[in-house]
Amino acid sequence: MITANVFDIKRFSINDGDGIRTTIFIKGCPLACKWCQNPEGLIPEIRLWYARNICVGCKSCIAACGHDALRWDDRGIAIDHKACTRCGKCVVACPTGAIRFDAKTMSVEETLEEIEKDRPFYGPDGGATLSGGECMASPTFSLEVLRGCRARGINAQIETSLYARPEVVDAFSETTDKIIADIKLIDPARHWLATGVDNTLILSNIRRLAGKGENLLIRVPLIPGFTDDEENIRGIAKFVSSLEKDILVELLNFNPMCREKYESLRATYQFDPDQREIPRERVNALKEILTEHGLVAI
Amino acid sequence: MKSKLDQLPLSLRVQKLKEVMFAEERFASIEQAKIVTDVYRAHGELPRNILRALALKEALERIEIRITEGELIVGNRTTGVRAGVIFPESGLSWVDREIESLPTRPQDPFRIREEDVRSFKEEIFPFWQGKTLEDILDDRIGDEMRAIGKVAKINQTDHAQGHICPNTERWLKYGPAGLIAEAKAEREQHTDNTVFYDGLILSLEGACLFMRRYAALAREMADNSVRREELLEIALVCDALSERAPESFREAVQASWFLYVILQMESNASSFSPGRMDQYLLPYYEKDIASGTLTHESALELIECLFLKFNQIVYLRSSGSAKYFAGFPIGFNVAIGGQDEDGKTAENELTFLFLRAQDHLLLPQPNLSARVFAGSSDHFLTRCSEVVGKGSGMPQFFNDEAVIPALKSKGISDEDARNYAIVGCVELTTMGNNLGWSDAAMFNLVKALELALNDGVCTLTGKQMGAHTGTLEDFETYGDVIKSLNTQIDFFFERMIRCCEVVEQAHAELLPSPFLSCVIDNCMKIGIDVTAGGAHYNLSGIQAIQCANVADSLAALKTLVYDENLVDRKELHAALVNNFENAELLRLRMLNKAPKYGNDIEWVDAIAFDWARDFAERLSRYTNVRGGPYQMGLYTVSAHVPMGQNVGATPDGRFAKEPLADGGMSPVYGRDAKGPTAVLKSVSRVKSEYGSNGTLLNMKFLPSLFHTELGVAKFVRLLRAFIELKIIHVQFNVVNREDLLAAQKQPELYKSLTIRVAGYTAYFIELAHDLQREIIARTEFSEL
Repeated sequence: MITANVFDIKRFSINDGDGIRTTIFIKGCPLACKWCQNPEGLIPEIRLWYARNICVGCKSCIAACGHDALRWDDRGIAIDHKACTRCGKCVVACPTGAIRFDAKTMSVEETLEEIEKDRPFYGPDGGATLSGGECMASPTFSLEVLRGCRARGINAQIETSLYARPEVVDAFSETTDKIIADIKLIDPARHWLATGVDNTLILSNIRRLAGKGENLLIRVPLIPGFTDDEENIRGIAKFVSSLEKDILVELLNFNPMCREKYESLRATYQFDPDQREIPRERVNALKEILTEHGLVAI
Repeated sequence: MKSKLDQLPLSLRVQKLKEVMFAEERFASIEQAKIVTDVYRAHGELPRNILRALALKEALERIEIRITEGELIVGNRTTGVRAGVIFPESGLSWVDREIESLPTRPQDPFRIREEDVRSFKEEIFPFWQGKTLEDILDDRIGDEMRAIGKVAKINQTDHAQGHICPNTERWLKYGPAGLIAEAKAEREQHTDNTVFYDGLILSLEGACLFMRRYAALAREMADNSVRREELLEIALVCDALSERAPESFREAVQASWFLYVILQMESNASSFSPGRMDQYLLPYYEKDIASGTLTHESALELIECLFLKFNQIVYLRSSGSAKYFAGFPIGFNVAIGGQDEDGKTAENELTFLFLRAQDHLLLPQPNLSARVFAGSSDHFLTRCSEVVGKGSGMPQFFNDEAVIPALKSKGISDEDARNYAIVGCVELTTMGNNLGWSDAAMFNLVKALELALNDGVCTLTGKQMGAHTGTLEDFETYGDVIKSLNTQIDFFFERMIRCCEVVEQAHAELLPSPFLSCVIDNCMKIGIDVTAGGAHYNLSGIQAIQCANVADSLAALKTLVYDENLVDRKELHAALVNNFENAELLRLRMLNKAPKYGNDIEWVDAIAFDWARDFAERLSRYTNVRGGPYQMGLYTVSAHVPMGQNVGATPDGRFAKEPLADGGMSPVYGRDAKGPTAVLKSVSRVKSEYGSNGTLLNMKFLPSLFHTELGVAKFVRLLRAFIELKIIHVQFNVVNREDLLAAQKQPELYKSLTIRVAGYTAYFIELAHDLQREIIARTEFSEL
């Protein structure tokens, strides 16, 4: 059976493609962006997750654990993922859901059933979006889900880094109604430093897809100190305007709300805790750069 | 694309009138009570319908009247606006107990003049003791009602029954003068029943007098006024309406308002519903627009003047009743849009002018209801969505695709069903021919469940209230739980129906309503008062409360106790009796670790539906005293709070006395973790044909959704799905700052607030606190 580890299914998604959508978040990503807003989606395996804000501190989980994988400290429950066998006893024991698995293994059929649930809401433009993590990192599963959507007459779109082999990208483009792809940084060295990978593959995928006339939306995440400088935006503008097809570019503002996830993971948050969205005037100024290059920016 | 009608400006006049109205203090008034008492004192021997007609006529003749500076539409039942009218015939005992505390009570206070308190205590109250509806019912079935009251609350025991949609179209077609002629002609035909017609005629004569008094006052004021022309115009309109049917749009609007004022003076009841105003006012509007005597601007101004009027009559309730129905909702329910008799869209220019008026004023009245169906235009749904986004909670939405079949299943004709309107908050009715008695009683299924798990003993008081059915400890299987709950429901059901019958009979006996009978089809023809069954349709509605809590409680029992054996029944029973004292972890488990209604989980939603359907089927075995069927409603308005106070701890992890789910169809606060689409799917499983008395679903959205055209378009798509899913009703509230502040204090109630960012999802309550605070700070609508 083809499965994937799905870490969230967001119904009534209204910012992940056209219309009303159901977004499927699949675990595992080849990139490791320093600002990742879904850090629980980076590794493909299911792990234990701890939501500090809803924990009542009863320690039932510690009592239930037979592997000494949990302990209590000044930040709440600390998880030793190496010791954890994912037996799930602590999950059953937790009365609030603060201790839970960060994802669920789902088959293609189960995933399509979830997508079916909101069919009355999709209308002609809404549908399903595969996101992540990186959906192209689970190609067999993702492609089957996309084909399933198509067979059911449900519009299917993807959110992707496009960091994948060209033949994989082409397979996706054949089964997808729209590809929403990021260009985070135009300079290869800076891209490598910030995401752990080189962007040559990504840019060539974009160029090829544009050449084929694919329905493509480019998103540029504006990350303070990483991607929000004029030089980067100008470089991206030049690149997009050099493509064979006119492509819409969306500037996505920084999302500070993922901070608590880093706390749950006890991972380093790259930003000042007080870092907030980039001011609207600044975003408009950056948008202006795109417009100067003849692009339509949203 | 916005049309010109959607952008008409708010006139200075309307703006001023609104400011002045809300600046005025609200008083309780005994003026009409005095007049009515005088009439009863002098003519107590007359038949009750004549006595009532005389009392009304006398009030219409004597009550002090006022025309406010700037008003175009005139008329009220008191000189002050939003006054609480004390009305003796229906009940005064509560007034006697509460009159001094009216200014200081927490919900819906009114000021009262000292001399009025004295006059009430010395002249009015002593005369009425033992004579009011309230006293007589207390005498007849008081003990019985108290014995079942925590489970089956009987309504309409201390006020007249409103919740009716008069035939305004007929009133406009004939006017009071024309109706007098008709009543006289019918009297000739019914020589054995002349007394009935005498009552109608007296009340209609009073109506004519009332209109002429306004004409006289306007003329008198005109002499020294800067707005002499306007006042003379008012005088002309009022005089004309006392003699003939309205001809212009303005006359029709004024005539409609007079009708509702006089109906309120006759009955002082909650909700005389105007119904489909955009339909029956249309011929007047079109004629005047065509002839050039009316502009879009002046039509809108008249509608807005009427909207202000809808806010000037409020309904004084006892402090207990005010808890159930907070904010003195008076239920001027105006339905717009929908379909015509051929199933084509009935939208017209007036539809959009009514929306624009709501857009401008954002007041609690009218209760504006948008009828929607598969054939509704995108423009209509878009305009409705934009107005919803302003945060007044209106228009609320009624779905023709669900309502029409539901009404037809209760014996309503196709033509009448397609022409339905709404009374009160959400109760369904046909137009002008139906006494729906839609709020006969409320049956608290959650209390019945509490009793079912504790051998019929109330866990709050320790009193034996219901049948002996054993306790949770005794129930070996989930089936035993179900059996016990059914026994408890049966125990209260018969008793409730018998009380409802006595109440309805008492209304017919004590509160016949001759004026209302003139504008409800069939009464005049067959010579029977509306309260005695004269209307073409005679229904009675009883509310089943609250399916969400029943589903959550039973699902928790089934999952954690019977299927997974994670919770011991003896331990849980003890915890329920002790309100989860020293059992917090058990409570959290019941709350968090069992599936809940509202999350698109078929088997849990089916529990809600099963109990609703069973309840509706039980009701269908009975016929009311007017010969019509009973039907079920699924709504509480604000009664989920006091009704929750009557219920002990429940297996869904709810503490004793906590509110029940709000609305009627809504999931319990904060338990809908999968967003609005899942809620709508769950609600759609409680099939609409069983909610023919009306259902209520509340949903909340963040205001940002309505800030962009794209967001509005997505909201419209949600409405289209609501239509397709055949859900009867939904009302959308825009989350305001207060909601979000509450979310910070009690995050467990707001689990379902999700923050929507591209490629990202998280629940509000799992965000860091400083970020929660910032979202709050950014959320607008603080003033609403």
